[in-house]
Amino acid sequence: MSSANAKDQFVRFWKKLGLTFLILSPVLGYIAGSYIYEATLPLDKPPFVHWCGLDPHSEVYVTWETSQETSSYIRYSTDLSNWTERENATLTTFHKFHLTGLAPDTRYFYQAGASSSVPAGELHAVRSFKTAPSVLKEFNITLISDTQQLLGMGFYNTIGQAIKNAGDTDFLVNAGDLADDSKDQGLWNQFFLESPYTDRIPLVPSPGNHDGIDDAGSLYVKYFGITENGRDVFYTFNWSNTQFVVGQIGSRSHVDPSDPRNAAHFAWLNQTLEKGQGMDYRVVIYHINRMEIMAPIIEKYNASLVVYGHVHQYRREYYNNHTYVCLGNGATIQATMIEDEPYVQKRTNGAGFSRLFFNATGIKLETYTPTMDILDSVFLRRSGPGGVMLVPDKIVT
Amino acid sequence: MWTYSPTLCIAVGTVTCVLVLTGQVWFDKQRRTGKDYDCAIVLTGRRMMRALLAFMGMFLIEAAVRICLSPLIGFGSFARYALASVILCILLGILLVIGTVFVAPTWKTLTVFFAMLGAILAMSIASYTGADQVGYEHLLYAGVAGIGSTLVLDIVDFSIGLAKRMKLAGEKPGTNSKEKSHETARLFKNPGEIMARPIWDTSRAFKLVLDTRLHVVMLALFSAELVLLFEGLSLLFWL
Repeated sequence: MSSANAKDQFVRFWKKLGLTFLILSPVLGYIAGSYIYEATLPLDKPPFVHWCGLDPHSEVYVTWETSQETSSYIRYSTDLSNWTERENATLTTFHKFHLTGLAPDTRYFYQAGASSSVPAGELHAVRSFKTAPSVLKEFNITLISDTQQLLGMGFYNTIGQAIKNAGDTDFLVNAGDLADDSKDQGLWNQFFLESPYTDRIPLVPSPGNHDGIDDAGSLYVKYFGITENGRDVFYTFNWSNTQFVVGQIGSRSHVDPSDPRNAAHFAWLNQTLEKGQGMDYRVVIYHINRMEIMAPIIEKYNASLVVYGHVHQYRREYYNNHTYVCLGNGATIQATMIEDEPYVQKRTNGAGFSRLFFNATGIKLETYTPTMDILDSVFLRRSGPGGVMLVPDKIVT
Repeated sequence: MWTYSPTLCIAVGTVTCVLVLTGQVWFDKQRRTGKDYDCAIVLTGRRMMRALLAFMGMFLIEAAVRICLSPLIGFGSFARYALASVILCILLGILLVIGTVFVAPTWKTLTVFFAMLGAILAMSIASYTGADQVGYEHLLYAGVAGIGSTLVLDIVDFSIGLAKRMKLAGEKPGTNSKEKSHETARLFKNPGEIMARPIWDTSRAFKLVLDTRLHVVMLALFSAELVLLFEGLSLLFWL
């Protein structure tokens, strides 16, 4: 082979390699771009409200984060004029206030920043939240789950924006797997950045398997805290005529009630649902649903609705007269193979979020695409002895 | 009953487009020199790849029809969230089937194609009519069987052609050792004789189907749809 030929072949080989890379570049570029975007996001995040372990009739947490250490300041009021101020001079990047003594069923406005001495323009924009009503009142909440985004890829930004544009809602339940890795700060920065609705919608999170609550350094625990026993994160609260029970079935190791690790949670779950029998509705939220374990508890305490995630698709099941909703369409690739399964009344494919509308006659469940097309709509009407069973009334879509 | 998600179909379509274009980049002898390959292994490999692409084509069409007809999943708005995937899958499926089977088919190509088509149709109809034992994996077996039978048919064809040439070479008088060695080497160059000749050749008529630029456009569309599906949207979400 002549040297000219060898050179020609060498050039041709590299040209082919370059073309191959070019052919692969759209998909590889998307993966790399998403990862670089997520990994380089700043730590700074605007304030958000949650109440894990608190009574939202009168108290909430307000949390925010800064990339530089600063002191912490918050002012809040019901009318944007008579501000109550709180300040903490300790320098930190993680700022958290526990607001107490709030009036029930009231919208509060708040503004947070480094210090009361900085100009109002340097504080975060005014944000708001609503406290829980004590009396019977119609209300609606938003539901999502599995907002995890592998390497930053996923449609949570689309969903987050759709929720922000979708009108008023009292709070947002996230049924687990908020981010793909419990210790990856970039993914958590992305989660909060792509949750623009937190300017007026509080977060009600439930731990998922990717949230790693048993791991040292779990960012779920950093942002939402411990609620029980110095290690657990389950909690409950009442809102109007409804009891919300946020369970701790966030990984496979949490599923078995006979495991000593889970004894405290399952004992609490039974006691809490027992105490909630006086409420009109009981909504149970957790991440992983094992029907053979959970159904007896749900049926014993006649839970009105179960909200879970983990399985990457939206599906509504009706099992032994109880409705279970899986909300795994919050961000990540949906199930690629869909097979016929018993008890499933509705299954969708693609991005979506749900809303629950509570009133005295029942609960309306609606699930939407990012462009607000209705993916699923059903009214769970109170019926049966004493009007406590919720029966799917009508499947609209 | 089962169905596939648009994301799976679009991912399969994207991989197929990548395969087609990568093949055109690395096996470009005909485009560069005007001569086709004559190595039996390369030719058999190419025919197996074509059988795979023909199967992919049928898979994509079948999957698109399944997405349209299946009652198992809802999209909220089919036009916004599934139509683009369905159109792309059907388009690429047709392109693949025409390009790999009907442009210049041999008897081998047609035999394998119609066997795969029959198997896929039978299994699709069976699964639609409620035969639970027909799973999606059975459909994949049709593709594996198609590629395998291409190899088997090539070996049979190769053997017959080789025997025929050896017989002819043996009858040739007065060849010296150098000529014999050259003759032996020639024997192994694409000896498929019986089923390797195209029954018809409409490559001129189907120039567009085989055009690299068209496949580049298909790759761009599939990649865009895949990225949009990852972002919770679709090419026609604005409808």
